[in-house]
Amino acid sequence: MARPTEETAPEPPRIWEKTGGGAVLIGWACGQCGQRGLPRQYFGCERCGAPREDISESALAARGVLRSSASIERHAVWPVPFLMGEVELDDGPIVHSFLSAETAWEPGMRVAGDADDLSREPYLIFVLEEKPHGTHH
Amino acid sequence: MARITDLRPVHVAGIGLHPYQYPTETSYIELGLHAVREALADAGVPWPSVEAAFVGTARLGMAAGVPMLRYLGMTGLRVSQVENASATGSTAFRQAVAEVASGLADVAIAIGVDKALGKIAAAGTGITPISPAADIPFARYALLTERYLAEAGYTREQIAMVAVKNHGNGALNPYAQRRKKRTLEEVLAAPAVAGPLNGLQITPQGEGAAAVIVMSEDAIQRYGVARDRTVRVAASATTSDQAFDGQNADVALTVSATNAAYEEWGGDPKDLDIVEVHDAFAIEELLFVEAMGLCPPGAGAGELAAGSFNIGGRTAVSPSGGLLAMGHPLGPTGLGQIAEITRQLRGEAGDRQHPGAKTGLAHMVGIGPVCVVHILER
Ligand SMILES: [Zn+2]
Repeated sequence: MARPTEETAPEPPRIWEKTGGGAVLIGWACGQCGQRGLPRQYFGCERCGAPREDISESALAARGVLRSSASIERHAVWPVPFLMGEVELDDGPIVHSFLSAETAWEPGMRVAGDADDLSREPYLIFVLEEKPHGTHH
Repeated sequence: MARITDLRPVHVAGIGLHPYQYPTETSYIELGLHAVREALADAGVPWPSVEAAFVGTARLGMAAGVPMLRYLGMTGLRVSQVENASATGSTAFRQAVAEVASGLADVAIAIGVDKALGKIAAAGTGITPISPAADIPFARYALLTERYLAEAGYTREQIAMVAVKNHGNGALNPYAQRRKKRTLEEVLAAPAVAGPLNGLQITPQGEGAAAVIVMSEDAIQRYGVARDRTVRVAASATTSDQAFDGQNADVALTVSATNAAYEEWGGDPKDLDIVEVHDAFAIEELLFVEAMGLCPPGAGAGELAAGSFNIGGRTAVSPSGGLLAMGHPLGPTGLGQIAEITRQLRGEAGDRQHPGAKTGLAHMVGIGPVCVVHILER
């Protein structure tokens, strides 16, 4: 994917982490009603209004199903063109993020934030999910 | 809980606009005063008759109102500033209507004025987005358009037809920012921006002003305003985000706000003569005419192609040219819709007059998300 230049790249924020089980997105969870969401925030629960004391950090697996993709041809900061995807995470929330240019995408394809790619990229990029090597998934 | 129309009747009595235009060095004061003076002349009332002003601006920053209105003569009227993203002008209108409906004023004015300045409050939330490029509205709408094309089986040409209709309407509107009729070929060939959206299927950046004067029955009699040029406010509804589980929030809000407005009005959406829709992106018109019940889900493109939404069709949708062609300077936009509907219901819309127009609906969504809907009736 296209990368911003040194001058245009903002400081990478902590929005994801590499774990043994693959990349996770850092979101929030409500201790009162169980609602989870992205991106992380500590202001209160969007569903039940529980205060910040009830809001904790929650890791959501960076994998899910592609709902839509679009090529962005004009942008103030990022070199164009680049691909954006709308992904319904297995853990619930729908996110918009960069999408790898190396796949001919169709809605319904499985995607994952690749941990190795993520460790080099400042921002989340979804790639085609690899088929599991084991017998379970 | 009372609705605005449960209180006393409110009528639109005067409308004024500064044409929407690409950014210039013109002072916002000049833009705003032009619209206010036109609205006063239209209603035939003097400035000192106005008791309260609601100044809608999304981009000018604080204290835009009195430094502008003082040049009409400092009458000491009540002035408040209103901001509600794209729905700023619509919300200023609702506030002015509520002021008169409640009896706090007999004459109030809503003014929308903006220049292409400033930034949105998202910069100060302290929340880091998942992706820095995901929050730009045209990326969001490109993804939505791609999904809609796949799910509804629509083609790019069908969506581009929204822009063909609205550029055609805008060509007939002297207040529109884009006044050039476009063919389907021209719309499809415009420079790409995101996914299927291109420059002619996205609202342009711009500036302008709009003003609407509302009055009580008492005031209409007292000032001798021509009764055949006033238009009654039949419903006012506004909602904010309550969507979960992957629904498109703008669509969900449009359903709830229009349903609330229909209930207040007591009419059926199929009886609407004029509808002004938030069509910042061409795809939105199809999504919203379906969400507001002008046609069944998935039938929007077919109805559009059949001419149902043309001027002279079943319901004229965005006869002003909509946000795509009339423009979307933010603060003025929702008030520009009220002005267009009023002009249509008066039968004063000239070349773009929809025959026999008696009822009209104005719809705006805004970042939040929020949605504001008004119904006007003769
Ligand atoms: Zn909760």
